[in-house]
Amino acid sequence: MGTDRPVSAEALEERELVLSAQAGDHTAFAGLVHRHQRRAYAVARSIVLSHDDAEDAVQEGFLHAFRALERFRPEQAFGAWLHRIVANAALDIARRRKVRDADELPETLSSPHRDPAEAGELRARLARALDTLGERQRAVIVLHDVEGYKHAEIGSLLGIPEGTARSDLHHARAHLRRQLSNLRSEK
Amino acid sequence: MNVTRNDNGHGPDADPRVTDLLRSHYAAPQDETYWNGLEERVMLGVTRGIVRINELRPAWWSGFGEFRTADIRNAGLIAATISLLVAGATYVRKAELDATSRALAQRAAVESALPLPLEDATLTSRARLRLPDDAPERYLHPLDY
Repeated sequence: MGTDRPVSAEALEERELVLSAQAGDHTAFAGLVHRHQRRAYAVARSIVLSHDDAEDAVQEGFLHAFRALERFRPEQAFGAWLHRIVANAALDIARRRKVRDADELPETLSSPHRDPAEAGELRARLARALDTLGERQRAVIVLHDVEGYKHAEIGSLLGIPEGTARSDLHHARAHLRRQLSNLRSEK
Repeated sequence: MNVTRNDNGHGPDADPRVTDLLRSHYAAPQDETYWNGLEERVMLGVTRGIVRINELRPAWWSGFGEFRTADIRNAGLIAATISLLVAGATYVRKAELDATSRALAQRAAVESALPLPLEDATLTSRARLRLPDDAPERYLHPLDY
């Protein structure tokens, strides 16, 4: 950190893709989608409650990014810029979803994608515990503990101060520990 | 996919089991075909978005097509009224200017025909008075009477 590092070939390649995409090359933009869609999905998934909503947020985010591409300065980090846009799209979807599905049970919203790694009961308990967390605290703990983001990065993604991200993480961890403590003793 | 650059979810206040549960719950799809499909859907959305933007950004003249006949008639009447008022005001102003310049021209013509006034000269009318023969003025200015 803080040392002069030569620009990697990957970064140079990405810069080329960005410049070509800005010049109207759709194939170059597809290259950027290919590179960033997994990370974009992870960011979106940490904010919304379901896989489908995360996918919608990714698609909306990329579309917004494409439209705003001419305003992007190539010396910026494209990933950070894009993930911020995707996070905003996800926050928007989460807000709309909250209004629309206020009466629905959280289990139906929290069902993850087709990867049944954990038992249904365990997953349902976790989903309920996550649902009792605030939207922001949930996003912070997922971005930090699942995706490995630092507090400052989370703050930048969600538009909150670093200190808020730090305290949200602390409260979210404590909350989930409390909610799932009986589960641990049962196991 | 887990890029661990922080405490890897194992800080002093973190429960490793809860962290593992979270990672399992939020695990991204592993199937490569899923990501290829998502990429295609994203690009399809981008292409459709461009088409929609072009549809939403019509040529400048197409806005006139949105006017209703009544709107056009009202706009025409207002424009005609304003034009008449402007034309009337312009005509009156021009007539006033013409009258003023005519008067000035006449005055200039009259003034140019008169002899130049003499310095320190006083023009007086010299009407001859009919005085009686023995009036004293006849003795004072005999050539004038």
